[in-house]
Parts: sequence; C-alpha cells; structure tokens
Amino acid sequence: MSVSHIQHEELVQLLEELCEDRLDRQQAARLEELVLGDPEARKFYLEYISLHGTLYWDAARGGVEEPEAAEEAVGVRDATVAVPVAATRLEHGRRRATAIVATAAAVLVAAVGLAMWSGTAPEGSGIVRVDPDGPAIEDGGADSKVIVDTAPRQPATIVAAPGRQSANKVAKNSTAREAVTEPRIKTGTKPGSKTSNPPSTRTGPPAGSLAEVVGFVDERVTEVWQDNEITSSEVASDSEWLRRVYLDIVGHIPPANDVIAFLKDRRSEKRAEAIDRLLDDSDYIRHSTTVWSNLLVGRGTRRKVNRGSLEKFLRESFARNRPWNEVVGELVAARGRNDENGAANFLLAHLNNDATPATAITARLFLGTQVQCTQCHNHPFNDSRQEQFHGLSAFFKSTRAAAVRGSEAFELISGSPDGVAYYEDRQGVLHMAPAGLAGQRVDLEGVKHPRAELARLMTRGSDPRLARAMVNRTWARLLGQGFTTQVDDMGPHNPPSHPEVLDRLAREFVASGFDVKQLVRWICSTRAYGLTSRMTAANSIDDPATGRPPLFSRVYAKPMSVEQLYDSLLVATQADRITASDWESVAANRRRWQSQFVYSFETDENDEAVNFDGTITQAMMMMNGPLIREALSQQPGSYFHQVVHTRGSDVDRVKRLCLSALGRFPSSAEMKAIGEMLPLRPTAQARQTPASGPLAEGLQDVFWAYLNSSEFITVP
Amino acid sequence: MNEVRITTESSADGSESGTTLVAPREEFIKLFTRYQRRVFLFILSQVPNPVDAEEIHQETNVIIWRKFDRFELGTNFLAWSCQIANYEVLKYRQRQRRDRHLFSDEFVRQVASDAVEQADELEQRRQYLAVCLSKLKSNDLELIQQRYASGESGKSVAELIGRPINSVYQSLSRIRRTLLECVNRQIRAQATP
Repeated sequence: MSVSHIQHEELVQLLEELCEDRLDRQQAARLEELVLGDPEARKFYLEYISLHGTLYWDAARGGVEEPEAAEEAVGVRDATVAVPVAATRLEHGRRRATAIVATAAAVLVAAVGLAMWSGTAPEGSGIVRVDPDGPAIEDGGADSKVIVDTAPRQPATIVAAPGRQSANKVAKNSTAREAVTEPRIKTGTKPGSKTSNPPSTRTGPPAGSLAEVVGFVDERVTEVWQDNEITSSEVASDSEWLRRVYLDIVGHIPPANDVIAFLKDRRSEKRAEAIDRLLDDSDYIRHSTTVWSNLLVGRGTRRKVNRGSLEKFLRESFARNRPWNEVVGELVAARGRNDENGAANFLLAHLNNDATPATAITARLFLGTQVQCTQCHNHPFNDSRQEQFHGLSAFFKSTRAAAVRGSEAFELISGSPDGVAYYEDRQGVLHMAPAGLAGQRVDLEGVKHPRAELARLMTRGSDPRLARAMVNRTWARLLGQGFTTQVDDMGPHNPPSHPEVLDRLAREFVASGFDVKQLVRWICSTRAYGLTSRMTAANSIDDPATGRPPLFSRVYAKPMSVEQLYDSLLVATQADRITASDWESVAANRRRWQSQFVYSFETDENDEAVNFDGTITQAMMMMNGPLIREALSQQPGSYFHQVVHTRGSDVDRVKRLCLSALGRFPSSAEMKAIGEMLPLRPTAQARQTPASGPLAEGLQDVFWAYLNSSEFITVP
Repeated sequence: MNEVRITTESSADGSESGTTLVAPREEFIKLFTRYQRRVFLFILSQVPNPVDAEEIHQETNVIIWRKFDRFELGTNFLAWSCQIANYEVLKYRQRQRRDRHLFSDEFVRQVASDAVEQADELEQRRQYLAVCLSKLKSNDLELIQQRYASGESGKSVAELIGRPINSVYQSLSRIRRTLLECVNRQIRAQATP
C-alpha cells in the first residue's frame, strides 16, 4: 500500500468528517489532494463512501427491508456463487486496464492528468513547458494602452508585434513585468470610465480590419482586468496554443509533425498564419458541420431527420463561407423534401403536435433568447411576454411534416396561415397573439409562406440579435465561456459581462456580411485567446465556476466533444490507417463509435450542456474500446508501429508517443517515471533494432497512459 | 464496448442474439429496481451529502423513465444509468455554481470514472457488509441503526440518547472502521480459499 500510515489515518479522519457532514472547505481541499494523489487513496475513498452510502440507503439494516426484497434476496443468496463468476468475466474484460493500473503508468496518468487542472500549481509540478520560442502573440505590453479614446487609431496588433525580443523578455520575466506595469496601468486608467458611447462612425482604418477590431477587443478586455485589479495569466506556450487552435478550428489535435514544425518556427507571425491555414483546411468545414448539425438536430437519431442531407447543406455552406444570415434564413424558411433540401431537416426535427419546440429552438439558437418558459406564463425577470412567444410561434403555426409516399423522406409543408396564435393564460382566459418579432407586428394576411417573412425579419441585419447570438456562441466555443452564463439566454435579465466587446463584434460581424470565418479569426487573434488556461495567484478570482462573470484573463479549459475525442484519437494513433482507408468508412466508424455516447448527452431541449462530457463514458470507451486496442496493437500502419520501428533511441520513442498524444514533449518527471519502469536500451542498440518484448509492452503502456490522461481529453 | 460490460445479468430475452431489442416494460422495471442502490452510491461518491445525492437520484430516475424506450436489453443497464446520473450531477453542480462546490470538477470527474471501474467490487463489498452488520455487538448495531435511521445525523442521535456529541462521533467512527475492516477480511478470505 503506497499510502503512508500517517496519511491513511488522516484520510480516515477526513472521511469521518465527511460522513458526518462536518468537513470544512480547507479539509475538503486536503481530502481532494490525498485522494487525487494516490490511486490507493481513491479506491479507499470509494470504499468508505460506499459503506456510508449503503448504511444510509438500508438504514444500516443490511438490505433486508428493501421494498424490492424479493428481487434482492436472490442476489444475496447466490452471492457466494455469483461473485466469483462475475469477477472472472470482469477480469477478462478489464485485463488491459488492470495490468496498467498495476504498473507505474498509473502514476504517470495521475501526473499528466492533474497538472492540467490544479490551477495554481507552480510551474514544473507536472508539465514541463516545451517552449523553445517565446510567445509569439504579444501586443507589446500594456504601455501602449493607457488612454481610453474614441479616436480612430492603430493599436498594437497581434501580427505586427514589436518584435520577439520583448516577447521573450516577457516570457522569461513575467513576474517582474507584472510587478512593474500593474501600478503604472492603474494610474493611467480611471476605473469605471469605460466608454459608454463607442464610436458609431469611423473614418480611420477600414471597419472590420483584423488589427482594428482585435485591438478594440484587447483594449476593453484589458481594462476589465484592471478594473478588477487582476493580472492575466501568461501567454500560452506554443504547444498549448497550437493544440487549442487545432481543436477549436479543425476539431482535432495537431499531428506530431505539425507540432514539431510549429515549435521550430521562430517567426512572430506564425500564430496568425496558423489560424489562416486552419480556416482554409477542409477539416474546418467538417468540424463546423459537426458542431452545427449537433446544435440543429442533436446527436441522436430522429425519425424525420435525414442527417446526411442536413450535413451536406451545412458542408456546402461552410465550404463557401456563406453569410450566416443567409444560412439561417434558409434553415428557418426551408420547405420541401428533406432528402432534397437539407435545410428542411432542422425544423422537421422540432415539429411535433404543435409549433412550440420549433419556435423555442429557433429563438434560442439564432436569437439567443429563451422563450420556452414564457409559453405558459409571463417570465418574471424577462420582458419577453407570453404574447411575444406566441407571436413568434404564429409564423410556425401552419408548418407541418408529411411523409412522402413511396419513400423514406419527409416533407416540410407550409400551409396558409391564420396569422394569429391563440393561447390561454394561467387564469384560463383566451388571448390572441398576432404574428410578430421583437414587438413588431406583422400582417400575415394573404402571405403564402409566413416563415419566409420571419426569415427576412430575423436576418436583415437591423435586428442585432442574430449577430449577437452568433458572436456570443462563437466566443464561448473558443474561450470556454460566453459573455452570458447561458450562451443562448441573452435577455435583459442576463446582462453580458463585456457589453462593448459583444456590441462591437456583433456590429462588425454584420458589417462583414456575416462572415463566419472572419469572426473566428477575430476571436482567435485576441490577446485573451492567446493566454494559457492556467490560473495564477494573480487572477484566481477569474473563475466562472464560482458564479462570477468571466474576465477572460485566461482561457477556460473545456472538455473535448465526443467528435473531437474520436478524431483526435485517430490523429494520435493513426488507427484509421489500419481499420479503414476511405473517408466514407472512417465517417461510418465514427458514427458507430459515438452513438455509444449519445444517451448521456442528448437532452430534451438538445441544449448546450452536451458539452459537459469529459467523463465516465469517455473514460470507459477509451480504456477498453476496440479503437484503443487496435491503436496499440503493432499492426503496420499504426503510429505505434512506426514508433517501434523508428531508427531512434528509446527515449526518442517515448518522446514521439507523448508528442503525438499531447502535442508536447514529456516532462522530466514523466521521463523519470518512465525511465524507472521501462527497460530502455543503450542508444546504439536501440537504433539498430526495433523495440520488442517487455519494452514494446512498456511503450504501449506509456502510450495508453497518455491517451487516457485528462490532459488528452481537454481542450486547453 | 463489450469489454466494459460490468454486470453479468443475462436477460431472459435472448440478449446474445439481438441488441436492437427495446426493453419490455417488465424487464426494465426489474433492472431499474435492482440497480437503484448502485446508482445512488454512484451519485453519492460525487456529491457526498446523502440528502443532495437523493435529490439527484430522483431526478436521474425521472430521466431514466423518460428514456426507458431508448434502453436496449442486453446492454449494460448500470453503465447506461450512470451516464444519466452523471449528467444529472453535472447539472446539479451547475445549478449550485453560486455557492462554491466542496469538491472540484477534476475530483468529481476522477471519482466518477473510478466508481464505474470499481462498481462490481463495491457491490461485492456491499453484500459482505450485510454479513458484517450481523456480527456487530448489539450496542453498536443499535447505535449505527439509530444514526442511519431516516433523517438522523450523528448530532441528533447524540441529543436523542443524551451522550456527548463527540463521544457519539467517536463511536460511529469506530463502528464504521470496524465494518470496513470486517468487509476487507471477508474479501481477503474469499480471494484465498
């Protein structure tokens, strides 16, 4: 047992406090530390809690008074027989996991995983920064932005950084910088003097130029740091940043070769170039299509939805970078067969007996407004009234789905509308709501296709909500938090954390012609996006998990989505090279694999919470799934096979595995643990012969540990 | 994911032939009842206050019932339920945002994944716990039963029986440790016949 006796005693004490509901915050932190630090302690924690829970559940009666006693009794009587059988079967299934937990690889998993999450952990506690170059995005420090002005000017841009020298200096000596510059900034700013009237007519640099928009955002975001008297986290290392931007834009981790090339590149414009390159990559189209088809129709299968057809529509839209208002307009106004018009699938997924779900999701996804509660009553904190909800739903009233005879297709039909929706309030009084949007009534008399009218109203650009909703959602997807707690609840009851940034980006987005790629480019180029996700003592209050509004003084790490996880596993292991060769079968395999997750992620409203998933299901699939098994097998074609047969030292082999899985080199702590575990050979010998026997198995364990770390499933 | 099928119940309806079978109601109810406790324990490991855990458990049950027709017989019911429970825990934590959580996200994540890993082992321990409870001295059994009678806590038990509160905590602690040791012994004895 690796828990020392004293620690064990301490652990028991803490667990006792926990059972009696007397654990205070400090003790809870200590308990976490003990439990997370040691697999034995974790096991013990669970055993203790289960004991406590079982006593609680059965009121300490050993299960005899269960209401389902009849059912239960069988299990208990047969226990001595049944248990060994279960254990053997289990043994078989989990052999890999067990074997590995037994080795020091488990320690490695812990080391790799925890370093990511312990926000304030000092540098070097787990992850060694692999950063040959200084941070490349740096806007020249805070010196240049003291005055809050409204005059057009050219702020420091991310691309034209004042030179790598200053960047390097910052990286090496950040604490000194903070100490020196913070007071200086403070004297220069008047807290609370944010410009409340952003310039509406600009004459200087072209509106929407990258430098100008990004400069504005950086300025405002920095101001908020100052107002809150915090210092931002450091600029992210190249490894961290590259992994993030790959996952965010193309939906998978960077291949090892790209990481190496990026780390070697010493030019200051490399980050900006990477953003452009990734936006032009075909995987950008694929990833955006995945994200939006999940939002539009969910991950589950629905009878009336032809997912392939919807994806085709989205793929073409993102490939041509069609203006967002156009795309939304087509989705809202869609008619016809779902196999012919992919856009029709969106509403088909949300039509049941009445127009309510279709109304709600349209408002939520595209206008950032939650109206489903106002369906039945006026929302107490929200000025969207029942009438507004029903006014919106009036556009959908005449829409219905019909099966197309002789085929599996469905058709979205718009009949002639009443133009009015009727509803009862809670007193049972019948009201009439004329069609309308945002308080503006629309006469649908004689209109053949009311949804087309709605689409026109929604997307014409003078209603800012479409743009604001898209900006907020995109910002949240990239930085890990939106300007509002719920990304799609932007009503007046829920004011945004950075109103000026949101307004400005929304206006620019409209001015750019709803250019989705440009929006991503702006946000990815901001100073905030370039920061590390690690918290420091100087910005520990910036933690939205505590309910405070986000300050964006760091990036908030997010778990990978199921699709990101799958695609990343393929990139890391190149398992697709041994299982399937063509794109079609890769896609089919992915769907089959991810369908195993769908239960837990699908929600009734198909809402954003599907992002919460770095959890048990993933862990289970990862540890035992056939994908991992194949990836770790030494079949020719797999990445692992290449590594085993490479002409390098064994240390190189380990490095390559880490690089491929985590986009960085192993830390010295990891290297040390691995060195103690594996029979690494002298370099000369290692160069001659491929790894085999216990060494190859050890390397498998190492790769397995890296792939199953929480660092792997995190978008940093 | 055949490998992670933790439980081994072989359902009456040819689970080996087709996994596309949607669960008939009766079979579903059986599974549902059988795994109530285990789902509760799974939640409790992440939200260690039993009252909160019960609340989450209730919400989980609602979803389980609502999704009843999505469950396929022959697949792992416990894992399926734990996925739902897991999601409910996250939702609960999201709601609780404003107070700070006792435990971090990382901790919860880790514990949840371990709990699934250890599910069978923990179930085995539970069965031995019944044996161990029957071996307790009658005083101790009485005390622990009082403690875990519905709605009670160590504190209220102390008031009830008029003993100093700290001495009650100590006794409860000792009894729980005794039970844990006893379960460990049983496990060891079972492992080495």
